[in-house]
Amino acid sequence: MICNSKLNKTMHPNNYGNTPPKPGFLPAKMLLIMRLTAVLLLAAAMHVSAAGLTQKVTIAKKNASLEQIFEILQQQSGYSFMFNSHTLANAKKVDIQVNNATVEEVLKLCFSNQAFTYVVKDKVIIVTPKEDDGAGAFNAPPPPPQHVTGTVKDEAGKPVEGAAVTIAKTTIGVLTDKQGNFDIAVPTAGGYVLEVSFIGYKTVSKPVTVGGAGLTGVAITLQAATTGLADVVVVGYGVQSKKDVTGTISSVKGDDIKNLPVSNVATALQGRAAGVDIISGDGAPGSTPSIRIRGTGTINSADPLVVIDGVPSGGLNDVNPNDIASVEILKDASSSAIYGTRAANGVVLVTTKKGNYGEQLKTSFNYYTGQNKPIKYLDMLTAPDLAMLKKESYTNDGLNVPTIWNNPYYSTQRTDWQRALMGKGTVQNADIAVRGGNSTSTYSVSGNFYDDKGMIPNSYFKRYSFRINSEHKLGKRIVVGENVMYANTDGTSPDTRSTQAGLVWSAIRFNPAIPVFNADGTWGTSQADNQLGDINNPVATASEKDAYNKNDRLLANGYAELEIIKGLKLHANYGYDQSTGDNYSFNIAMPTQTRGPSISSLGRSFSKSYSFLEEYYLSFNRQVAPGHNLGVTAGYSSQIFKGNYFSASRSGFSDTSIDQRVLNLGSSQGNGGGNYNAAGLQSAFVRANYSFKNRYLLTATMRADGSSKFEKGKRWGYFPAFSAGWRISDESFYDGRIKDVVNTLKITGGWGQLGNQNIGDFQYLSGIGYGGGFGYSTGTGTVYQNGSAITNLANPNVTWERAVMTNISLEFALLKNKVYGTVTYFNKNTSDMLVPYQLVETFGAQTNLPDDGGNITLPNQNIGQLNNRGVEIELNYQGKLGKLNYTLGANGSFLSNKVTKLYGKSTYLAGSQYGRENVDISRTYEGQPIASFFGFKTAGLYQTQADIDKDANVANDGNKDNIKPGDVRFVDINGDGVINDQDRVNLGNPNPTFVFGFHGYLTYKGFDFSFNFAGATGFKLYNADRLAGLDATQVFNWYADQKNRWHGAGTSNSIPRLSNANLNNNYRSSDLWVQNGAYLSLKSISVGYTFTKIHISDVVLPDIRLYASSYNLFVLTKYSGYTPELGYTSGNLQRGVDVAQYPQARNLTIGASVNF
Amino acid sequence: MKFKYKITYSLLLITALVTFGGCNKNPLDQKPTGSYTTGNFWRNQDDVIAGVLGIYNVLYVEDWIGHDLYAFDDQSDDICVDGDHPDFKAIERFNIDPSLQLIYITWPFAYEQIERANNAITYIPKVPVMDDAIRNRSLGEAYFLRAYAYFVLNQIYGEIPVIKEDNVQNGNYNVPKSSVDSVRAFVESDLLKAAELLPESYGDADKGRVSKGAAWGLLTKLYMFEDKYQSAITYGTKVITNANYALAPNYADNFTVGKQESNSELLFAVWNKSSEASPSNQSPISIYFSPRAWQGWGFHHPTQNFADAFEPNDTVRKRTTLLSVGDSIPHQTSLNTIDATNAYQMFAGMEGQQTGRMLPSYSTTGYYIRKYTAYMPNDDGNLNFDLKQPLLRTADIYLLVAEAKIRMSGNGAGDAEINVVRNRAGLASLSNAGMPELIHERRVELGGENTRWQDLLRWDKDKIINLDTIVNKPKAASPLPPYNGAVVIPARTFTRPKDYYMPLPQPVIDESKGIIKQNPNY
Repeated sequence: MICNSKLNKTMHPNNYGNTPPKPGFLPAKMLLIMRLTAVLLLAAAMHVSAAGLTQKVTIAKKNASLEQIFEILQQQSGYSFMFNSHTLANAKKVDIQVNNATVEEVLKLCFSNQAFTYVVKDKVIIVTPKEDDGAGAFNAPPPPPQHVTGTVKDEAGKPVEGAAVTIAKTTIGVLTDKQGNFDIAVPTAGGYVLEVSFIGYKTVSKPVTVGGAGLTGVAITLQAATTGLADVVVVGYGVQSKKDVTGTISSVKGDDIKNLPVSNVATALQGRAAGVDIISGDGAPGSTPSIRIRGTGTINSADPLVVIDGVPSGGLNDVNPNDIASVEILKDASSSAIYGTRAANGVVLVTTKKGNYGEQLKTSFNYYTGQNKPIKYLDMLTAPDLAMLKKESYTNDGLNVPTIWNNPYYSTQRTDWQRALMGKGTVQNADIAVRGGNSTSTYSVSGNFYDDKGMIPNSYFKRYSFRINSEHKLGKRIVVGENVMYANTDGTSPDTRSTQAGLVWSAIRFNPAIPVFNADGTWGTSQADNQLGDINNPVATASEKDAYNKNDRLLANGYAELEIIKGLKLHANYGYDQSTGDNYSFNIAMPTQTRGPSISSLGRSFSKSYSFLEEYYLSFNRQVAPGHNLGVTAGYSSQIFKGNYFSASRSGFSDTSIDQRVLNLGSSQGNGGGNYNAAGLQSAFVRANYSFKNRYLLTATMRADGSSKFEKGKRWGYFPAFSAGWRISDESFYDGRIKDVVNTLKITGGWGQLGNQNIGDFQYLSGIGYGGGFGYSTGTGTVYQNGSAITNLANPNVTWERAVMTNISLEFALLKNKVYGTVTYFNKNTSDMLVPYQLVETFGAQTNLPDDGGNITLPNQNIGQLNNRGVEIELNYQGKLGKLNYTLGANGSFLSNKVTKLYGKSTYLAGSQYGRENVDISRTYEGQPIASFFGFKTAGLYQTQADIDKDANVANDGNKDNIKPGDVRFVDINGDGVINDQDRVNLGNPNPTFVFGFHGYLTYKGFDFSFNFAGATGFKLYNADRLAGLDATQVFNWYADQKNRWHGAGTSNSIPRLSNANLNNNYRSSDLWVQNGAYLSLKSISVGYTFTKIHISDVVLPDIRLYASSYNLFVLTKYSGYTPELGYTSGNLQRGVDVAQYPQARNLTIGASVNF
Repeated sequence: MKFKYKITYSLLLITALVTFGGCNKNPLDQKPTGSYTTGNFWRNQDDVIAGVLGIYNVLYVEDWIGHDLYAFDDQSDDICVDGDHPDFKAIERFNIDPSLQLIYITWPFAYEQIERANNAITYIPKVPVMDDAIRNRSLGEAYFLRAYAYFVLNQIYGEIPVIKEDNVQNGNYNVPKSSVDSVRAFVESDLLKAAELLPESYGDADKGRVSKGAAWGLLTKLYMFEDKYQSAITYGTKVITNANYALAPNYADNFTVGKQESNSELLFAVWNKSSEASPSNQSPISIYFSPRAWQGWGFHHPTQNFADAFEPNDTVRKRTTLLSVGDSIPHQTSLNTIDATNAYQMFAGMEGQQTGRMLPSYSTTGYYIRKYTAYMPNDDGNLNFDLKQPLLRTADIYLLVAEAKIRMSGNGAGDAEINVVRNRAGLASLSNAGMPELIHERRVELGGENTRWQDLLRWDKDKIINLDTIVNKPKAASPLPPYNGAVVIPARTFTRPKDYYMPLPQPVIDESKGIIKQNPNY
C-alpha cells in the first residue's frame, strides 16, 4: 500500500515485516490511500514538523480494528498512516474512548499489547511489526526475504544518491544512500527486473537472478538523460544519437504536446523550438497554421516538407497529436539535405508511437472536454452614439442628414452583434491506444475522436482517426513492418476574410439597432435603408449555413529491412498517401437579407489526390577500425502524385427542407467541372557519417533530385551538404575547472544547398486555351469555329529554387549536465527564387488590361533572391527541489528577413488589396523584408486652418483647399509640397524579429503541472479592420473609438473628423493603422494529478491522471484587435493584416487519462 | 503473435511490397492532363486549324483592329473625333504624350497577334501527319498575320522590338527596337513566305482566309512605303491581273452584308459573324462608326472638306461612304423626333414628327461614315454584325500600282489602273493623271478605311505634298444650318519629324528597364 513507491523515502525493506507481499497485491481501502497520498504531499509541502504528535483527538470506539482507528485519527489529526493491511489484519481489536487526548496517547493505547510498533516521519505514522516479536504472533512465518545489494553510479563513476531502485511489477523499492548503495529485499529467490531511476538520467532496467543467498554487488551505471544529449533523434532515413549529430535539429517529444485541445500538431508546437515559427491561421475550428522554419524562405510555398513515419506526405492536419512519439524539425542544410528537393523550407519528421519489443500490453485511454470562448470583443458604437455621429458626419459636410438617423428606432440599442455571433464553443477528444510486443513483434493500435464546435454557429471540425502499426522480426536478419493511418475529418468554417460577406466583419459592422430577430420571427435585416449597409445579418448567415468539407485520408506504408552482413542493411519502403475530399455547400435563398441570394443553390465537389512512394536504401554502420566509426546511407526514392476532381452545381430549389438538398432537385444546371493532374519526383541520395574517437564528427550528404515540373534538361538538381562537429569536452585536455562548469561542449558547423520545387506544374510549357473564346469565322455563311491560343506563356528555363545555408552551432551542458543548451547562427540565402515574369509589353495582351482580350498569364522565372539569417537559442533545465521535479525550457530566435533581389530597385510584388477601399497594404520590395507594409506617413491631424495654410507638406498641393482642420496631415516624403503616391514608404515589417517561447513541466509526487508561453516582438501589425471601422465614409457601424474623433481643435490627433466626402482621403493606407504587434501568450497550461497503483481489495486499478488545461488562457499585447496572431492573408506576400479573421478562442478543458 | 499468424502476415506484407514495388515507372515522365499546353497540342491538322483561327481571333479586338487603330486616322483631314475619349482628341491635335491611353492600348494586342503567330510558325512544321496543302496554307496565314501586325506597328510607331519565333522559344521578350528599315525587311520576308505558301483562292468553306493576293497586296503597299516602285508594280500587278482578286462589280458591294462573302475584291477583311452567344465573334467597328441615336457610339465624324472631295457625279462612292443629314439606312428602325435644333431647311415644317432619317443633332459635322453601318434585316433595330470589315481591297492595289507607275514614269503612266477604279464607280476616265489626281482618287475611293493619314504621311515624307497646308486648315462642319460651316477642330501644327510616328507607350519603355529607348523627340 505504498504510493509512488519509487520515490517514497519512508520506505524500507524492513517496513514490510515478514509477510511477503504478493506482487501487485496489497489490500487497502482506496479512499484512504488517496487521502494518505494527498496528505503526504501536503505534509511535505508545508514542512510540518514531525516532533510532538500533540494534536488533540476525541475517539469513542469499541472492538475497532486498528485500521478503523487510524482512519479516525487521520481525519481528526491530519496524520497519515502507512501500513501493510495484510499484516495489520492480525492485529488485535481495540476498545478506545478518549476525549481531547493527544495522538500520541491514542497510539499508545492502540499499540499496547500489539505485535506492532510505529515510527513517525514527518506527518506520516508508519506501522511496522515488532521485530523481536515472537513467531507465535503469526500463523505462518513466511520465508525470509532475499536481499539484493549493489551500487548505483553515474557515467563518471560517481555514486548517485537518492536513486530509486525498484523491483519491476511490484511495489518494492528503496532509495540509494550517499554512497549510492542500495539493499532491496525480494520475497523469494527467482528472477526479477531491477528498475533504477533517477531524475536527469535514463531509467535502467536490469534483469537479475536472485539465489538462495540473495545477490550482492549489482553494479548499475546511469546515463545522463537530462540534456537530451544521450537521446536518439530521428533523422532522414534513420536515427542518430544526438551527441553525434552535426546538424541542427529541434526535437519535441509527444508527451510535451499531448492532450492540448488543438486539432493540429503544428499548433501545439508553437513556442516549443527555436527557429520554428508557427503562424496561426485563424481561430476557426480545424484551421491550419503555417510553419516557417528559419523565416520565410520564398514568396512561393514556404511550408516545410512533412514526413510522417518515413512517408513524405501532405499536412499534419489528420494526425492525432496524442499518437505522436516525437516531432523532429530539421532546420539546417546538413540535416535536411537528404530530402534535397523539398527541404529548402526545412523538414518536419513525425514519428508516431509504436509498441516495444518485450513490452507487456499497455492500454491507455484519454478523454477531455471543454469550452471555447472569445478572448475579447471589440468596442463598437451603440445605436444612440452611432446615430449621433452619423448626423455629425453629414453636418460636417454641409449635407442633409439622412432621415434614418433621426428615426428613434435606429437610436435604440438592440443587439451586440459580436456577442450574438460569437459565443461558447465546445471541444472534446477521446482516444484509446493499445501497444505492446513480444520478443519478435511489436504492435500498436489507436483510435481517436476529436470534435471542435466553434464559437460561431455552424463552424466545426471533427476527426475520427485510426492508426495501426506493427513490426516483426522474421528470423535474425529480416524485419518487416507497417504503419497505417486512416482519418476522416469533417468541418466547415465560415467566410471570415471577405469585406462583403465576412461574418466577423459583418458582426463588427451590423447596425446595433437591428434586432437578431424581428418581432415576427424573421431575421433582422439591413434592407430598410442604404444607410444600414449592404451586409447580411451575420447571425442569420451563420445559422443558415449548411456546408461541409469532408476528407478521408489514408496514409500507409510497409517496410522491410534485411541485414545482409553485420552492420549493412537493405531497406525498402513503400508508401501510399490518399486524400479524398467531399465538399457540399447549400446556399439558401435569403431574399430578406441585403446580400442574400435570391435563389437557393447547391454546389458539390469531389476530389482525390494520392501519391505512391517507393524507396530503397542501404545503410551501413560500423566501427571500421578502432576509434573510427563510419555510417553510410545511400538509396533511391521516387514518388508519384496524382489527383482529380469534379464539381457540379445547381440552383433553384423550390423545396429547401434539409432532407431535400440534393442536386437532383435543383431546377437549373449550374457549372460543372473537373480535371486531373500528375507529377513525379525521382531521387538518389547518399549520406556518410564519420566519427573519430567520438570526438571528431563529419557528415556529408548529396541528393540528386528530378522533378517532372521542369523541362528535360532542367529537371535534375544536385544538393550537396557538409557538416562537421567537434566534441571538445571529450578531449583529454578538457578537464579541471572548466569541465566542472561546462560539462559538455560541442561545436558543429555546416553548409549545404537545398531545393524547392513547389510551384505549378508544367510551367515550361505554354498553356493553350481552346474554344469559342479563341475562334474565328470563315466560309460562305460565315461559320464560326473554335480556335486556340496561348493563355500562359512558357518559361522553358524554369527550374529549382535553391537555398544555400550556413550554420554554426554550439551545444553545451552546464551544472552537472542539468542545463543543456544550444546557440546557433545561421545564414540562409535563397536564390533562383521563382517570381512571376515581370511584365514586358511584348508578351502580348496582359490580364491587367481593361476591356477585352487580356488572357495571357505569365510564368515564373528563377530570378529572386532572399536572405534569412538569425540566431537561435535553446536552453533546457532539468532539476529537482525536494520532491519537486521540474523541466524548464526556453528558446528564442532572432531573425532578419530581406528580399535581396527582385526585378530591380523600384519593382515590387503586391499583396492583395484590402476590402472595399482597395487599400494597397503590403508590398514586397527589393531590399526590404517580405510583405512589408506600405503607405503614407502621418504627422497627426491638422488642428486649425492656420496649420494647413502654413504646412509645407501641402504647399503646392492642388487639393489644399479641400483640406479642413481635423483631417490627417500626411507627410510629404519627397519634399515637392504635394501629397501623392510618390510619398508612400515602407511602414513596417510584419515578420517578427524575435520569436520566443518558454515552457515548463513540473511534477510533485502525483501532481504534474505544465505551461507553455509563446511570444514574438519586433514586428508590426496592420489593423485594416480598424481602418474600415473608423472610416467615416463607410455606412456601417463604427468602432467605439469614433467617439474620440477630432471635433474641434485639440480634441484628437489621431482620429480624423467625420466627413463623408473625405476630400483629404484620410483613410488611405498610412501609419495610423500600423500597430506594434509584440505579444506574450500563455499558449497552454495544464495541471494534473495521477493516481497510481490504486487497489480495491484484490483489484489493482489502472493509473489515472485527471487534469485541467487551458489553451490561450491569456495574451499580453498592446495590439488593439482581437488577436496579434494574424497569419497570412495573401500567400506569403501579406502577413499581419487584420481583416476580421475568425478570432482565436480561449479554451478550458478537463480530462482524464487511464493507463493500464 | 502466434507463429502461424506471423507467417500469414509476412506473406501478405511481402506480397504487398512486391505488388507496389516498381509501380513508380518513369516518375518524371508526366504529361499535362485535362488542359492543353505546347506539350500536348499541335498534334494534328485540327489543332493547326484551331491554332491559326486563334491568330485571326485577335482581329476582333476593339482596342486593336476592331476599332482603335482608326482613331489614329483622326489626325487626317477626312474625319474628326467626337465622344468622350480625351486621348483620341489629344492625338488628333498632335498633343501627344507617351502615357496616352490610345498610344498604349493597341500595342499589347499587336504583340498578342504576333505571339499567336509565332507559336503557329514554331509548331506547324512539327506536326507529324497532316495534309500538306493545309500545312502550307496555315503557315502562310501565320506569316501573313504576323507581318500584318508588324506592318501596322511600324506605321504607327516606326521603330519597334521584333519578337520572332525563337524569342518565344527562349522566353526572351525584352529586346531592343529594330530600325524602321529592318522591321520592314522582316515584314517583307514574312510576306514573301506567305505569298509562297498561301493558295490563290479558297473553296466555300474557307473564304475569309488570307490568300496569295492578300500577301501580294500587302507587299505592294509595303514597297510603296519603302519607295520601291518596281517591286510594288511587280506584286501589285500579280493582284490586279488575277481574276481571283477582281474588283467587285459595285463599289457598295464591299460594304454590304450579303455581298461580301464571295467578293473577290476583299483581299483581307475581318470576317465578322453576328452572334448573341459569343459577342467576341465580331469587330466592334460598327458601333464606333454608327450614330448614337441609331445603336452606335458615333466617335468619328467626317469633315465638310472630305465631303467636298467627291466629284459632283461621284454619287456612288459618296453615298456609300458618307451618311449625310436627311439620309436613311435600310432596316434602321430607331426613330427620332425632329425638334427645334433639327429643324433646318431639310426638316422645316416637320417638327414633332418622328423620322428614321439622320438628323443634324446626330453629328457635329453633318456627316457619318456609312461603310460600317448595317441593320438587321428583321427590323429589330440592332446593328448587323455580319458586316465584314475590309482591311485590304484590290481597288487599293490598283491605285498603288498606278501611283508607282506615275512616280516611276511620270504623269499618265497610271491612267489604266486609275480608270479601272473610276469606271467601276461610274466615273469617266481620266488621262495623263498625275499625283494630284492619284491623291484625290485614293482619298475618295478609300475614305473611312484608315488609309488617308498614312498616305498623307508617306507623301509628305517624299515631299509630294506639304502636310502643313492640310493640318493648318481647321476642320469644319457642313455649311448648311444648323452647322453653318462651324469650325469643329481648329488649325493644328504638324512637327517634323516628330509627328511622323507616335511615341512608344510609356509602360513599354519603363518595363524594358532601359532596353527599349523612346522614339526621338518625345
